[in-house]
Amino acid sequence: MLELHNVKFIYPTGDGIQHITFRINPGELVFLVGPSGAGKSTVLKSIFLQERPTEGHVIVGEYNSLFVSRQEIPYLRRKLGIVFQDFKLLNDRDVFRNISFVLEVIGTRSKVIKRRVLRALADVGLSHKSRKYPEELSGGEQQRVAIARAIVNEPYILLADEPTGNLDPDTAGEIMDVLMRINMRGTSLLMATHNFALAKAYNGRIIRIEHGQLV
Amino acid sequence: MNLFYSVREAFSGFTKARISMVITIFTVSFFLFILSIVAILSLNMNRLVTMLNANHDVQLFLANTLTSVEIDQLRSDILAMDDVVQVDYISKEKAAEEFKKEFGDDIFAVLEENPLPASFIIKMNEKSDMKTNLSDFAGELERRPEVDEVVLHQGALQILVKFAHVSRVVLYLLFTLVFLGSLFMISNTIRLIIFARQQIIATMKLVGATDAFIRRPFLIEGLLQGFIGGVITMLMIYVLVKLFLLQWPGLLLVPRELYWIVLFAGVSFGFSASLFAIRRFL
Ligand SMILES: Nc1ncnc2c1ncn2[C@@H]1O[C@H](COP(=O)(O)OP(=O)(O)OP(=O)(O)O)[C@@H](O)[C@H]1O
Ligand SMILES: [Mg+2]
Repeated sequence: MLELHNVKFIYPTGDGIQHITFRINPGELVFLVGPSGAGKSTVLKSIFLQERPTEGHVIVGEYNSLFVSRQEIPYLRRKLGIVFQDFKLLNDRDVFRNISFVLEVIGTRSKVIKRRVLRALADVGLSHKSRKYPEELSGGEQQRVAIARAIVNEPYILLADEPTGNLDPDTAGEIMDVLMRINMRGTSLLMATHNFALAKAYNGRIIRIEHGQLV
Repeated sequence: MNLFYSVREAFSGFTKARISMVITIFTVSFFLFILSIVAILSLNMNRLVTMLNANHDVQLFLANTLTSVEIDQLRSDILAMDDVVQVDYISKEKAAEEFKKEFGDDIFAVLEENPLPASFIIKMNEKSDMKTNLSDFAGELERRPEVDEVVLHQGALQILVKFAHVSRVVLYLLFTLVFLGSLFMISNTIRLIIFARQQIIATMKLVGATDAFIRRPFLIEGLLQGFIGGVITMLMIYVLVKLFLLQWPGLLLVPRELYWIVLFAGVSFGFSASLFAIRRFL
């Protein structure tokens, strides 16, 4: 389903990750835990090929990073739901269109789009803000839009990069509830966090990373 | 393939970058306008030249000593020559009158005697080729003792005829320059829009959009801008031609197809400029 084999990626500055090997089974809950700068985001980026591994390989569904052409990368990414550490919302359109975008991309009919976007918005508790623009939302609300966008396509695997990073404990708790609900429905969840205590509070597998290597 | 999305996106692009949209449309119109003028001139060049040819004439100044019998004789001799359509006699008095009309001065106020010679205005038919025949014709007349001087009123005409030959080259050259300039300018404008949206484009890629999907709204936007530019030019040309024909009826013939060509050129121009611009990013 999702496998990393001896993945290495080094930035021009010399930082990066290496010898990263793990797999995530269907429906599994996995935390990637490590201090800031350990390489958590880089691991996730190597999965959706924002950074292509220079050694080793990543397998996402039927795609193997060794053989994926540039033209195929969008199709690999559609298998994944990605919640970026910095949200990466499209600030030129409202919440509804931010979420519907990933369905437009795959040519979903507009009837279906509407139903599924409203569903995803309800899942993250943001139904009442669908016509707001990202800049009109609080950090926690933007975080939830990012999650709604990641799940609307019903991906096999949800990658969430520090989804509670800069939220107060209550809001963080709500976000975690949302993610756990999605995981319960059978979606694998790989969540990167520096918060070891948070990871331990949930019944998931913990992968630890330090200085770009698993420990 | 979700065309509805792309079209909606293209229209929202319009409202997001109003100034660049106006610049693009203006540039497209400017280019199309030049294109149309070139086309209309090329199409009508022969027509304009023949029309002007029909008016060309030769002025023949008579020696001062001729009697009216001699003048009549000369007149009928000239009328008998090839290509001559009409010969008008302008007496010394009439010449003085026209001088006054033209320059506002009474010539007799300065000089006691009328210094202007009597003359014939000879109208030639269209067939008379002004380059060879006309100067032969003038030379032949000038050898006669009754004739003082022959003036070919063809300076302006000759320039025009030369222009008709050279102009096509110049026009096409100008056209190419304007074409390249406009393409460059529009591409740059669109490139700026795309550049401003780079962040958004990068995110779109990260959530699974293909390059073609991202490109499509930009192409449709370019196409629409070209279309609007085309319509504006069509109207401008239509009005201008109408005004021109009011002043000089029948001097221009503008085929209806020209308008469709303008529209088509606008659309393909806008489209290719966008394509050109976006190639750098996607
Ligand atoms: N684009 C980049 N260019 C160069 N170096 C980078 C780049 N992105 C990250 N790095 C470096 O790579 C290392 C790993 O970064 P990464 O973002 O993966 O850490 P992280 O574990 O996600 O940290 P955080 O918890 O702060 O998000 C860091 O030392 C970082 O400085
Ligand atoms: Mg990170």
